[in-house]
Amino acid sequence: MAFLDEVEAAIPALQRYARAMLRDPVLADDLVQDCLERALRKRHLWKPTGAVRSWLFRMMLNIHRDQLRRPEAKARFEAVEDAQLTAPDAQKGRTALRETARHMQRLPVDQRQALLLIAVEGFSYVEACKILDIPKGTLMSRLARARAALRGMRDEDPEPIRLRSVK
Amino acid sequence: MSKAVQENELHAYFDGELSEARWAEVEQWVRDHPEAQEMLDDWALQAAELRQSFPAGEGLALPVAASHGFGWQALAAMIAVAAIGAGGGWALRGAVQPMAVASPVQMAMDAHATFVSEVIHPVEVRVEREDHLLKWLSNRLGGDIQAPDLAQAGFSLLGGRLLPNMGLNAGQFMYENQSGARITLYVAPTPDAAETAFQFLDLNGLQAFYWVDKDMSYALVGQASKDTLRGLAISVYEQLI
Repeated sequence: MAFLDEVEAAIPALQRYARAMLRDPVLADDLVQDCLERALRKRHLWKPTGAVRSWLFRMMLNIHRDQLRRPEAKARFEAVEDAQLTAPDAQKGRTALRETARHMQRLPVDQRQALLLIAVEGFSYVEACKILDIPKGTLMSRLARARAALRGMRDEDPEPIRLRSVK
Repeated sequence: MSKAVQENELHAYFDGELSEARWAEVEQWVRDHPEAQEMLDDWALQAAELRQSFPAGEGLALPVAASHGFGWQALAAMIAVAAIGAGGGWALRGAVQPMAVASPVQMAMDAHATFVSEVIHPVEVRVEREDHLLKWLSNRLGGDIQAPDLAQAGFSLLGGRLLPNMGLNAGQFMYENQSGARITLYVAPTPDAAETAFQFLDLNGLQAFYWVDKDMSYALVGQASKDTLRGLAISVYEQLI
């Protein structure tokens, strides 16, 4: 696949990841757009041996990290996160899915990022380590803590609605 | 002699990151430790729910200024977005989540992508227990759920599974032909959606025909040619009337 085709094929996943991280679809798409612009500017830096997809994810996380360092952007992102965390349930009949999305928001961002890359985006441990720029031990412990925390939150729910498989 | 299994190894086992030799040992260990199996089941459920809670985006046009000399590709990207936009009005139901609104066809394509490449567990209930599968899905989805017969077109039913669907349930049937090509039929109750004609969506080579009929959304997803897929969709539609 040509470079631009691979970039284009990765866009829906980048959007998903950005939305899961930021919770605000507009901010998320802005982030993806920034990432795409930088990717096309820096395409000559991409090594044809590596996967375009993980290169893009890494770039997007770097941009996000840079944005968080700028004070005014930091306030903006945090305001969105807080609003999401404290928003009351719009609907009483809560579902397992909405709960899972909400539980995710209670995880530290490091754990959320690790779990999303592995469980949702399907990256290998090696790829995820490169994207997050962390050693394997750190990835494993974030992954383990994220999974354990989600299990714990599920157990503390008063009326968990679980999807069961029939044996 | 196998060594004791560490929790890290369970994660690696679950994520398909263990060596083959160790994999067999851990598998045996898990068989002997139901609480570990329960944890693995929970992780699988978590992962499935996460994938459904955070559906893939609908695409963005590549920045035109930056992609000079590749205008046609930017154009293609915009057409892809427009194609989704056309289907977007289909089922913007229950929009309690401010993030992405996943339409049934997106969920269908997501579920297809997740399960179609599975060698060992393509379906949750195999065709050998079709009666049980249909009864189960009918119970969980509400209504009389039938798996259409696509044998005339060379596709036989492998089985099906239950899927989460934004608070309602959905079902997926998987079919395979003799050369191993697989298509899936996604069925999701959409109580307030208006009936629609067939609509077609192509997302990076993965294609879907989708429609709403009698409070049910259907999406037939596969990588077959558009004509083949249309023929199959018509056959499904006629059988489900």
